[in-house]
Amino acid sequence: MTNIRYSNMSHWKNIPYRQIDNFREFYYEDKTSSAYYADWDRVLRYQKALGFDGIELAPWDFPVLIPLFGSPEAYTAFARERGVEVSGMFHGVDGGHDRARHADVLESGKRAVDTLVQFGGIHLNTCPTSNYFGNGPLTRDQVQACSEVITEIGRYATDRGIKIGLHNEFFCAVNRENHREFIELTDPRYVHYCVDTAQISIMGEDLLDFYETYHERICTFHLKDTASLNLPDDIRYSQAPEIADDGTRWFWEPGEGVLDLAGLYRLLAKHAFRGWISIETDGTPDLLASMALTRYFIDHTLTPIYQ
Amino acid sequence: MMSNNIQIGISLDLINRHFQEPNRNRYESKYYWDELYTLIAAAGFRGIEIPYDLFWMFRGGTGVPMTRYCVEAKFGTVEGYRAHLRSCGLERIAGVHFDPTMFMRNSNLDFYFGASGHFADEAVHYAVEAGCDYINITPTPPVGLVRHYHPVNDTDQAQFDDEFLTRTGDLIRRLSDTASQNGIRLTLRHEYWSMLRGDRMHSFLAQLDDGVKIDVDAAHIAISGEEPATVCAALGDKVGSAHLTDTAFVDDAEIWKTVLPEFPQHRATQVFRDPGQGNVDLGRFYRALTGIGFCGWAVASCRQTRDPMRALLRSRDVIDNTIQAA
Repeated sequence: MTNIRYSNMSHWKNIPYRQIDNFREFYYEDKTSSAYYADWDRVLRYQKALGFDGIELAPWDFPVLIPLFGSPEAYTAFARERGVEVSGMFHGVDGGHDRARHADVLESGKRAVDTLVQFGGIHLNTCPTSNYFGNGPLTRDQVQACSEVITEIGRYATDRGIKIGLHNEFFCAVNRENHREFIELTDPRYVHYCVDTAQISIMGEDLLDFYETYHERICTFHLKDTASLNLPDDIRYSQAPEIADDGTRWFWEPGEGVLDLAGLYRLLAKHAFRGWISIETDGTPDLLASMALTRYFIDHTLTPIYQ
Repeated sequence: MMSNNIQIGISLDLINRHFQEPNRNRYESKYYWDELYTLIAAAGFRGIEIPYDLFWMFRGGTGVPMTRYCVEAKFGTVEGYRAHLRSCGLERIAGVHFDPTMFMRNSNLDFYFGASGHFADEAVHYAVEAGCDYINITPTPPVGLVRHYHPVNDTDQAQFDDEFLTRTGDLIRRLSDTASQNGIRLTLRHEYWSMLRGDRMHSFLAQLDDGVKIDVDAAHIAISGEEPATVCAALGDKVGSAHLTDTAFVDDAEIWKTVLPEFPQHRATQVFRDPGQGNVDLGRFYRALTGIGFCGWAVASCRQTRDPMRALLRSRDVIDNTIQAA
């Protein structure tokens, strides 16, 4: 029995078919690789084959995914038949720092919790508020406001067996100057943390120091690498910096960037971390290649340290 | 040179923005589009249609140039974007297509009509500022998707549909007023999966003012079981815009009723094929457009292509060797 279970944060985007039974016929229509990325049956089999027993869902895919399967429960059953379970989902809070919007924020958070319960997952990894651009810098009262509404969502989630994991993007209005203050304002009974190893490093946190400091709050990870530590303010605070105009990638597969992930795993061993770790391959041109490359790094570099 | 008043453009829908495929991440960055414009021009097109795709605005990205928000983030103003297109050899944004389907996502009809109305209005104003000839509106989401979120028993079905289409009509009238006041044409896309499938579109259109025209999309008409040229000829001056689309799909399993009618679940297939790859007689369709004296844009659409560069050149090949010859 291992301490870590590996999941995949879904960046598949929309997958239009449940299961393609006429695969050869479909392939021959235009003889391209598109056929290989068109049904959930194959996508889930790729994940299972590479040792990712969980999938973390992206809510922006739900308008296609849920009607396609009929219900969240039907998707979960379909995935389980292929050996994959829903470990969690992402949730983006918009306006958490603005008390005037808290009723909507709380309602949206509760809906996300309820949806995740239907999928059978446990981790609701949550970006705490809107982007920095157009909102930052936040006042201390706005940071406090953000912590209050996140704690309320966390209380609702905890009652239903869901763990809120704060997931701070490098371009979030909560940013380098108030990231730790914000965490400490939230109630640790209800609000946990999902360390996105690349996002917090790009924001300017020291990954190992952050984990050492907050290991008791940390419930899960988004595991990925970066070659862009400590990005300057003018990039992090710009409009929509996540996708660069020139194609610059912020995120790379573990081992392809500069993060000390072996050092992180030594700390996981020290603190006996147990739970899900989601790999995340956003920005890659080839999700399947990135997933395989990540699996190799896990097996040959990380697992010997801690598993 | 064309000897009629039809101009031929191509839709940016040839770039897959929503479904998984290798290398699709590049479609989210500005650099990809900047090169694409020059390649569209190199393929002999001078006008484009823009799908007004709000997904990318809500995702926080601005690289996909399909909303006012994204264009203003990258080019400052809509005019700045037009100037950029001109510098790449694209002289006109022929039209804008607005599809409200993304707002059919829950059981709240007020949400659907509120969001659709707000963003359709934004799309009309965008089309005006972009100097378009037309704004093309998809009037309803796929009927199967509507039924998914609004299941009603058979007894109540007609009443639900009447109320839904009444509100749709009110929305279209408001958009039509805005369009006509600003001197552009509003056209309704006639899709085989629509709640206005078949003749219902014609009775719906009859309730609107004469300024509202219909878009003839060859593949949609063919999948509905009709002959595109015949339909086009019968519509005459009701035609306001046209799409040169191809298909080999035969809907023999009532796929039009399903939640994702572009993706037949019982037998996977590419419903919309690149021009020339299906079995629609696009030469005859084009002759029919000429025959009714159509004066406007006919836009090649390759919305399910597996390879946009190939789709560009396949479209050019069909235009030069089938349509121009016709």
